[in-house]
Amino acid sequence: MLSRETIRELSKIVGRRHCRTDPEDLICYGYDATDLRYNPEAVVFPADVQEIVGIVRLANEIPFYLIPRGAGSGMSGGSLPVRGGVVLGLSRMNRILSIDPENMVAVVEPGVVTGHLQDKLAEQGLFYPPDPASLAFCTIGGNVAECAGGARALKYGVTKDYVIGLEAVLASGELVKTGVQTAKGVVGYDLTKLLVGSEGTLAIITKVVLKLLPQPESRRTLMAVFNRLSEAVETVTKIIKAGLLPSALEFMDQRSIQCVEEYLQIGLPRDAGALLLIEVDGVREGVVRHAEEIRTLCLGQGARQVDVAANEEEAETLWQARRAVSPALFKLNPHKVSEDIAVPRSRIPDIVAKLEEIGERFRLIILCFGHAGDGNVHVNIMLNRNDADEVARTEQAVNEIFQATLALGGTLSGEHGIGITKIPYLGMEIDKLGLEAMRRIKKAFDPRGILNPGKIFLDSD
Amino acid sequence: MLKQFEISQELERCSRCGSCMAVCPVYRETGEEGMVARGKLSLIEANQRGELHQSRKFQELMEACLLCSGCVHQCANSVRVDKIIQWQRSRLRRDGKAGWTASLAASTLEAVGKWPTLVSQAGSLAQALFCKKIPAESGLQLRFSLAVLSQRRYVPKLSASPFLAQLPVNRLGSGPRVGLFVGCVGNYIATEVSEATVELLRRGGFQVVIPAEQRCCGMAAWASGDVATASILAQHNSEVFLKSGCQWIVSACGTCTTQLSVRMPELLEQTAPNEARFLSQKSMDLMAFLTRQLGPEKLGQMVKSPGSLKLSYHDPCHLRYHQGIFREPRQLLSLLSEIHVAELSDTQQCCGHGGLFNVSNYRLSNQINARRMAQVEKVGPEVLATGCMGCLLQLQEGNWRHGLGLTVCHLAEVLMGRVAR
Repeated sequence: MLSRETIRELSKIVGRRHCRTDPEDLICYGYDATDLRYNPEAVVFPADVQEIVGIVRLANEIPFYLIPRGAGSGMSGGSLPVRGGVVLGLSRMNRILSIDPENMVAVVEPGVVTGHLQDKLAEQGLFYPPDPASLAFCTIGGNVAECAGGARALKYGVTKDYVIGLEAVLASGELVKTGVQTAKGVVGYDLTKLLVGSEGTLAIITKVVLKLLPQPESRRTLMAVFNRLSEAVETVTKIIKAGLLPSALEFMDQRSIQCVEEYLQIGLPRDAGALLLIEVDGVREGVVRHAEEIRTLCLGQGARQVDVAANEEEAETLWQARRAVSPALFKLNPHKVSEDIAVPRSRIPDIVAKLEEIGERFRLIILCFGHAGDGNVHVNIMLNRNDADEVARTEQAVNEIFQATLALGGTLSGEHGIGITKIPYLGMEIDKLGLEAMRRIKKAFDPRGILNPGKIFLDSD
Repeated sequence: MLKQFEISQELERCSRCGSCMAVCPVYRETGEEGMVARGKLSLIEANQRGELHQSRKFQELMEACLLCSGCVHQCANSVRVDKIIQWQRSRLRRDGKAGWTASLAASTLEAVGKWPTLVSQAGSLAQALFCKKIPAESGLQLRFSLAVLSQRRYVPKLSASPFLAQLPVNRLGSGPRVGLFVGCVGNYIATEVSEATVELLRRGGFQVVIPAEQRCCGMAAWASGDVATASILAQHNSEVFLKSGCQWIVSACGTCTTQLSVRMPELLEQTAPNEARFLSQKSMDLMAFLTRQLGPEKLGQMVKSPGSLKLSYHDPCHLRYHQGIFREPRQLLSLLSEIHVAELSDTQQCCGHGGLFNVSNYRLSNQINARRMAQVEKVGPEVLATGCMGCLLQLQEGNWRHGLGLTVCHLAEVLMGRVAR
């Protein structure tokens, strides 16, 4: 429990308006996109790094738990105050500090909304590629903490590929700078990469240096419709093998298509077994040629229809469909267990077949869609949490899905992180020694265990 | 009106994904979870479970919503946030926990139900100070009475006499009969819009019927949770128009048509199913009515060009989100070849009006409006047109406050070539 004295100290640091303990605020900062709830004891909204230093020092001294939070849009519970403590809301630190077109670098605060940054950059012909489906409201800070991915990972990589430097407050309250502002840099250990994806357990990120690219001159989106899911996923490997590197290569299975169509009514083929959404980008002539080559290839693989978006508006409608999948699935059942396994892309047909088999065996609605191009498959089990039997079957199914994934050389989470929802399975992928090494790192960074407790590891690991 | 169990079901359908954050105008300004739909729904749910009282803060957060429904439109589960918030406001009212603006609103509005009198003290004070010409039963009373209390500096000029009182006859022209729902702004302030609307309909080949006994649409009452008053107004207005023998009810105000075609049928569903059906099928926004009833040739003959000018159109939330009307105004504008339509960068940005919201959350309303006006300034039109009387007042105020010097008017005026620059 936080003492009155501690609350008073926190108020002194951030100002009374920005230190909240009303029950309304505790409720509103106790959830994220997992729809799980844990109320914090207080919520503070620091204005700058100095205030964060003050807060962390206090947390280390008293001590109390600190849980950094961007937009609360995470899919694995990374920002949930599972053990109470103080939520550190970074929404006020939302300034784009600099955009440097000559060196292709941007420096931003953690609370900047990813989509807003991309819009600002686009005005100057610059490009920050990572595009999680939540980009219209998630923040760069959250993206960095969870190492968010997105559809463009296939060609452009994920958040960690663009973070070249950080400023962060350590658990001791000391301010560190990591990394560089240059294209290259090998001085010392790469602490930047260590902090990216550390889910707020090692330090509080206060500034992010991002590498940028020029905006591609042209983009083109295609939609290929297949009668069978297996045809679609086999086409994916063929496209990559042919040396065509799309900027995005997404798939949706039949039930995903039907859910989205019911929601958006944009004329997706309800009877299709699967569809591929493909985006190519680059110089105009190359884009036209590659789109045509992909179209021909899809038709050769048995696609019954391939549409090329005629303009940006049509393309946006198709991408809207893809982004709507995750939320639209709730039409099937009130709750979902959402996993984002990744396998080597050549094994996608194997994992998809396995998922179908598991779904049938456990009598569960399992849908899959996602980033076919990079092997990151979003597996969604739609269930009713009030049905104890269904919950038990889901747990067994998830276990088997993870086993199958690892057997195919895959990983438990491509881009959502472990948070709290995948904690029980961490040991399936990381062996004892690996876990021990991670624990020692955590201990070295945060000896008193004040930063985002209860995440990634089980206490008994 | 949602029932208790429907509310619980509706609340359950929010998965807290956060996509409402991308569109909520109030969240955009404040960055606070309690301001956005998923936060408000979490609070209502906590209150339902008995974990949270209807505190002062709770009540304030419930008031801090424009009911624009941008979030409903965005939500993959189409959670009816607008209905849930309205339901909660009616709860607050029932339990005597409504805020001062809502209770002031409610007390002046109650007068409507029990014509002719019973004006609350605050209401009559404000009326004495300011708006002798606006009777207590008008939803507009709120905006101006509170203009005094909130030190609002911009107050639009009232018409010398209300539009409904100016009419020599209430039946104009010949052809299929259309009932004109004038609305409070169209009656007391922007009478020129009502005139342009009548002329448009007549040139379109319709007989325009304007029942003088029509009253406020009741949106302000409904939005503040005063279901009783909204129901009385729904009953009264529907009877008046049914009696007039019109085939359709048309209004130039997006807010009024939302109330007429969406809310009133809900309110009357049980008690007056015939009226409910009539309203939901036959009441329509002016622009949608014209484009659906008339062919391109007839439309072309109907409009008069205001000459060459650069114009931007502001989408009212009540048209775009509540009625799905955004193509029709653009289709009509395209009939005027001399007009260059310059689209605003964000076609979804709210003007900040939100009815009572602009009284209870005056500063926030101005902040939202400032964002809108900055977008307008960037595009730099000569004329800013819209299709809702609430937006019209708000945009006029914004134009004045930010010194943009634009002509802010209703689309009906543009289509009648009446744009005074």
